[in-house]
Amino acid sequence: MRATPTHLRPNKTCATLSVIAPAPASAALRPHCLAALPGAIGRLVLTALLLAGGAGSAPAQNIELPPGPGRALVYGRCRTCHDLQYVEESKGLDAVGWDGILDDMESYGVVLSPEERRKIVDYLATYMGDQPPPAPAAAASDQPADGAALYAGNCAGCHQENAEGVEETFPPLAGNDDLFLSKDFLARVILHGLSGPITVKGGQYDNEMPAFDHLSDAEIAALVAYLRSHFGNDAAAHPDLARLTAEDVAVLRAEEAGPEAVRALRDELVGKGR
Amino acid sequence: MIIHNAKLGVMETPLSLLREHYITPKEIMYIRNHFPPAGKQAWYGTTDAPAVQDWKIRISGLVVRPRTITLDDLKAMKQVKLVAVMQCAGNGRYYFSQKAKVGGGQWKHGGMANVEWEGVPLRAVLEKADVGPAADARWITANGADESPAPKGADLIKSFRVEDPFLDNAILALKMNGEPIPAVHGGPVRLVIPGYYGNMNVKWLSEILYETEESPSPFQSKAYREVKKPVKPGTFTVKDYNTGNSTPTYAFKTMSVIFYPLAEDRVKAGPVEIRGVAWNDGLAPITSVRVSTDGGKTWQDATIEGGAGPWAWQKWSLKTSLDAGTHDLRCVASDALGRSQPLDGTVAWNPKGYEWNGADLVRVTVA
Repeated sequence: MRATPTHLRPNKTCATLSVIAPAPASAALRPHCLAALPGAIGRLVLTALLLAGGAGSAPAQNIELPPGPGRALVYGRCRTCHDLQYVEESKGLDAVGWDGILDDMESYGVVLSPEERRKIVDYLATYMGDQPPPAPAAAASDQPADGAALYAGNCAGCHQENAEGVEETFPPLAGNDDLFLSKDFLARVILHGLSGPITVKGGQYDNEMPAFDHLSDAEIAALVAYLRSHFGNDAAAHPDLARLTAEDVAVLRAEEAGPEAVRALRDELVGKGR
Repeated sequence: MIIHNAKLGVMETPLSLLREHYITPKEIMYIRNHFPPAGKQAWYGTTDAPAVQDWKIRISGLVVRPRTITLDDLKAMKQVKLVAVMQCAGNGRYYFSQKAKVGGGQWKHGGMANVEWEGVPLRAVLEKADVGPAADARWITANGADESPAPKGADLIKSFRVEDPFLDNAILALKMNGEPIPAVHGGPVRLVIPGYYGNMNVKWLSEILYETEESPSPFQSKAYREVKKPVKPGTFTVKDYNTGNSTPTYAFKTMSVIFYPLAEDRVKAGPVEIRGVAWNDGLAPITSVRVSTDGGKTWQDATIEGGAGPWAWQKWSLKTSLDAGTHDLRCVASDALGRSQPLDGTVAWNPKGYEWNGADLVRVTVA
């Protein structure tokens, strides 16, 4: 197995520190927290901190919402435009308040079926609402992961239903060679995210895909298999790539990596393929 | 900085940083963006000016002669400078949530800055372009180059009455604090309307339209609107806004904040100088800032030291004395039109949490 570039995994302990506290100039910066911000934004904040001559920290990028039915849809659809801190800071709204937020978001462009919208509002009102949330939901059932449903809930918001992407913003997954760069690369993108700039099918994309590590090992394996065999993608044309299993994903999940590390890996793999 | 949304680079300046500079440096200036121009996500990660050689602004709509003006056209015209507060309409939203939760970024007072803009007066640009608007084109719509990542999504568009007197002072800004405007703050060209909330100051200005109606964009018709009458939590929700019962968040309400001391400052018993800034929409001067050191029971008049023009922070200070113990400091500004601030800002509670202007409250512990 290929060694993963060693970038620090976001340190979740600094997620609670959201304010720069005035501190003596000798106090150390918290680079591990800054590293948790998307690369470019992290550098911007670092500039501000240096100007301030003080120490500081910033919330981690990988905000986790409480597990519950519908959470995956929030992860899959809301992060097209903004990260989950928007959701976190709105915590405490009642069902009408969350429903109103969804009105706003639909007017800004998120496309949801009535069923998806209902699930999202139910989740937010229950787990991010004005009443204490119920005990964590029972573990997922043993039903086999459904690649098509996973794609619709997690990927289609950005990459579109037809997997053709959005010009200059989200790369296509249809006919995207990245899917077959190596056995593991696609799973790493899903688990750890991917930051641009990248070129896909001749188009430039300079964006950042967040990690989708809330998906289970089996779900990611199913999603990889689905992507490699739909939208005109043909896994059979790559006999050298063995089928990725849930056990493989479990190993990848333990790696410390982030969107920039995955991009570095991509650069390596693309360079090798030339 | 206080991060509200890392993906979009949305961040707020702690007052302990903001107070260090009368003119806010770009490195610590608050950022509130929705979407970058397509393919320009990288613009969100730097305080550099965008590397664009050419920039075009289309002036069109219900006009006889649509025109396109370029960055070079603007550079060749007479430039004016002004210092103005830039402030997010959601600045202070957190304090509304103390009454009833309001969705969105929980901004305290740091969603504002005091910066110098330089550019060409909007009226001069329109006059020179001479596009010949139709008589019933009563609205001017400003559109930026931002683009929603959702293919059918809306982007930020703002409309103003053609005769709006605030537009008389508006400029097509090319510089901020003496440098080309950082991309993240709307460069290369930003519509700056002194005295208007941040969202009205359209970034990456690319289009000006004369129209008979205001833009149907949800950013004009639904978002960034303030209710016309006071509403109560539970009886008026975000779903109840329409263009009849609300207005766009145009002009700043009169506002003031305490810069020193802040809750984290160590204050020794004895003489102390309480300092802060006040501002409004610039229509009338700030004539009074009153300060209380006992939570609002008694008040003293602060000295207004003034500022760099009608739209800039007006500095104020009060020399007083504080005993050891806990003190609730408060301040209230008023202007020559009698416009002031409520002691309890939540009287203006609104479900979107805009235009907070409650009297500041800082609890300090004096040792």
